Amino acid sequence: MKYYYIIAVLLVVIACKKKPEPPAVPEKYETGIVVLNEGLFEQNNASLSFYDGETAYNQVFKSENGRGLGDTANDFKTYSFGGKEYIIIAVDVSSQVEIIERKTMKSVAQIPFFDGINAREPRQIEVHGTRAYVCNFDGTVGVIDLITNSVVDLIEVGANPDGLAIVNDRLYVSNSGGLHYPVYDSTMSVINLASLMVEETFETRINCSQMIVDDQGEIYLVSRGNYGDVSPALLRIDPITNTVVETIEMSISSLAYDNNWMYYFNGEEDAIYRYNTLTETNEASPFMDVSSYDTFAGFILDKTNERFFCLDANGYVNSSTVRAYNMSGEILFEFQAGLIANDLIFNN
Amino acid sequence: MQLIRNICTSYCILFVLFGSAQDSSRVLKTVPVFAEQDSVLRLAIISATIPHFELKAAKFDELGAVDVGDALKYVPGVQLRDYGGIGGVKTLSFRSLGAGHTAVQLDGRQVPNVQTGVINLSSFELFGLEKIAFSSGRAVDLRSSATAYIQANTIALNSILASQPAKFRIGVYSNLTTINSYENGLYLQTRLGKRFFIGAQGLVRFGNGQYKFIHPENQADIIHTRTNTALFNYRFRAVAGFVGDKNNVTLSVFGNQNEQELPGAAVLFNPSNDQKLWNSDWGVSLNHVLQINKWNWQNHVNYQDNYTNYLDPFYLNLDGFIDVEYDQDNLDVGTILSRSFRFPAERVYIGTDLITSNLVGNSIVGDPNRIQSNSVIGGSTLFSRFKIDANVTAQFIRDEYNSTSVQNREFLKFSPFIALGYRPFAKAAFRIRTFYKNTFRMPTFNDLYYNFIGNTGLLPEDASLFNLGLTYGVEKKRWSAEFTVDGFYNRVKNKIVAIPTKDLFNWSMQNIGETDIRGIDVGALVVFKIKESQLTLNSNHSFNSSIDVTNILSPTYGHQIPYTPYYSSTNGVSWLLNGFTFSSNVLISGYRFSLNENIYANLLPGFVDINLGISKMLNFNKSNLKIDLKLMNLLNKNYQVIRSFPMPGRYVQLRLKYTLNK
Repeated sequence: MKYYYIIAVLLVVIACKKKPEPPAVPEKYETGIVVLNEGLFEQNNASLSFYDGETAYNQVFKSENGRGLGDTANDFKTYSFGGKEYIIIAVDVSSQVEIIERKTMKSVAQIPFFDGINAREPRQIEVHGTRAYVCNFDGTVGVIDLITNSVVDLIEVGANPDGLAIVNDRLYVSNSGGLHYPVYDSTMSVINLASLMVEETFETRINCSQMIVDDQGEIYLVSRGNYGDVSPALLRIDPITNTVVETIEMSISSLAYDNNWMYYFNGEEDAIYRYNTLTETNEASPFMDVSSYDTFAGFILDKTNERFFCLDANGYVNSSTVRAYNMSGEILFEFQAGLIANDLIFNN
Repeated sequence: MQLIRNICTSYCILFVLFGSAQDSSRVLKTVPVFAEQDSVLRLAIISATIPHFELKAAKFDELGAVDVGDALKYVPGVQLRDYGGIGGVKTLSFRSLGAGHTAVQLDGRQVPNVQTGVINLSSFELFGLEKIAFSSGRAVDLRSSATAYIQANTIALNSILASQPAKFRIGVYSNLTTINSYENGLYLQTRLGKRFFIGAQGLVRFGNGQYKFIHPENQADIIHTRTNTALFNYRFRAVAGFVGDKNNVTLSVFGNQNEQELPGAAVLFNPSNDQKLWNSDWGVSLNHVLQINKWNWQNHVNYQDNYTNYLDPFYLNLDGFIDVEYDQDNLDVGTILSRSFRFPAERVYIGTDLITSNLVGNSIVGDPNRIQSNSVIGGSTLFSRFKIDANVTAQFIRDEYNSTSVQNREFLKFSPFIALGYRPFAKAAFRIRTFYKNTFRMPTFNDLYYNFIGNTGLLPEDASLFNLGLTYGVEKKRWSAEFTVDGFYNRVKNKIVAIPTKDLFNWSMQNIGETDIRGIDVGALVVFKIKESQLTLNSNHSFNSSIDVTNILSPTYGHQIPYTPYYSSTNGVSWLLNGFTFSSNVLISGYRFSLNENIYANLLPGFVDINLGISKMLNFNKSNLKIDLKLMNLLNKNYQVIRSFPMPGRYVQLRLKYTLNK
């Protein structure tokens, strides 16, 4: 009879399991942190989270707009226009660029990126003046007029472009060819922002993605290697001659830059390191150890508040953890965001 | 030589067990609860010592099912993974053990798939089937070969063509739906003289499969259309048989040609789907049964070839498309010897199969080849009111693959099973039953050898199953009823899952994961006879707590595993009156989660699927025509069984089936 007692207990336990409640919505979005959660491929669960300093609100885009953001959101940026602040989001697999009001999360425009019926797959965004430049994985850069929220031009670049940077009124586009395995692309396209023409294409290294620009206007570019015998590397590029002046083979991703320091994640060491862009040298000891992280997924500097954030994607299948640290590496606070947090915007 | 030594070791162990598995005692008469004509709508077999369900043709007609997956979703404890639409993949899990732990047999022949380890249940049509049996613990088909006893759960399909006709028989079938999917089928079977029979069956499925739906992640007033869903599929099967005094021989061949568009996930705001799939399969099998008194000796040779071609005509890679091909070969030779005693179910058996499989294709590394030796020894007997059923299997596997040089990996795994049944009262059909099985699922070729992801260091995934239940049957003048209650406890260890290793670009298959599965299945069937009419009520309820116990520090420790509702239920009512049958079936699923973490973002709401049907049987001399009209998914909800795969809403199905038996 003990067995039936166990059954009875089990039934009660099952009956009492609480179904999760729909998430709450904050009263306002004036101050806090906006998190872009990439979501998983074909799960339609890209989302935005908002942390107001006390509570993390997940799914705020869906709550405010009555629909999902879409599938696989890769990048977002902020800009202001006409006295209003906006966030522009690249939603890769849904092949849309979404523009929302930064302080309400309400959608202003949803711009589709298709070539006939085929998705172009927007990946990265840079905003310059009243235009946004979007690199699409189909080998194009879309130019969006932010006054009319429409696509005004489409520029052909290399294969699977995956990084953007603007230097001297030129848009640098790193062509990864990431889907062209085993023949990765290894070029950079340079677009003149006045003429919207590709001025030059030069050789870099295979499978290049993220870039940052230092105060001297030099470009630092990540080459991911081939995940096999070609290791990842950091490339330093002179934007006057458009040549690679230095290649340092090392495990590198998640670049951030402030005041002559480039911060990056070294996956082999499981730590954040710093690279001095004036002396062009690596700092020997790590800036921050993140070996306790399940899945390190991003490093973001908050220059205004003199702090930085590290993202833990927790195996890419569980809610991400966002942790804030002061510049000495002491933890300030942490909160849970959505699935695969990959970037932050600070509403101040 | 290692190979031979391992095979020998496994045999020696089996023979030791064989010696100790003998018995005899008094015969216990079975109590028939239902007359045969009443039992056509029955699901649970209450005399079995294991969970054993049967669906006869009348039952699956009434469910409105067109394929085996559709029919089995009404079995309590089964969760059908249904990607929806015409030709969509269907696999099942039973008590949280997935398709990799489920074997499919057609007329006793095990259907192989070493690439994925999973059999798509939508590729078995119900037309031409007499019966589907589903069992947990052991295979129930007496034609089963040794391999069938290894896996936890078994789906056994019995076709009309495999049995001998009285003289000749014809079946003609047509199924039309308002979601643009159609099926037409025909079988013919005849006797050739006294000893021989031959028959053939053909089926064609086609349609553009398009349907409207409301996307659960989009605004409710926006109507989407599921596109790139067209299908053209034809299948052929022929069986020739010899029925002798002692020898029975059957030879069967089958072929399948399939061309279909794949709708893929319903990605928000991106309707572009253009992938295509082609399958071309054929096989031949030869069976021989020698029956001398109480000895039965079965032998078989099966060969099967499966060719798959997948095309994504627009992909952002160097070629601008993805075009992959796979070809899989299986050759299976086996023998099984059994001796029955006082009645057919009291028997001992010993058998072995040798199977060789290989796979070639894009993105499969090293052209792997697998040799398996699968053996079983077992028996069942009765002591007074006590029934024992036990077996043990030994599976030896050797994979050879080309890496930098030819390499191999070997496994030897045993799987014991024991079931006990007890009937405390001689006169009442009340039974207590329990079973235990420890089993495993071998890593598949995809798990081991798929480009980048595959991990040749994988171990088999282990599963233990335990069941304790009560069954009861009662028969009165005006009504009869059957009840089952089963509590179960399963434990899965070394689960094979894909996890990221270094970053989002580097995933690998790993033996990580442990699941603790507990639950209860309750079922009831009641049949009332009121004058000339008959009312059948059937209700089943499953409670399932399947929690992740992999790592106590993980945020998902103690969470319900994905796609597993805490509660699900299947219900049916059928009223037979003046040759008309009015029926309704209700499938209820509680909420589930699409990922490990039990949070709102992963919540898939529960759903209720109701169908209503009316059918009329027109009887002629030796033949009949059954007209079946059904309203499917009455509530018109595009519920999702799998996230991003919305199901069709309400639609109408009309089915005509003409059968001649002479």
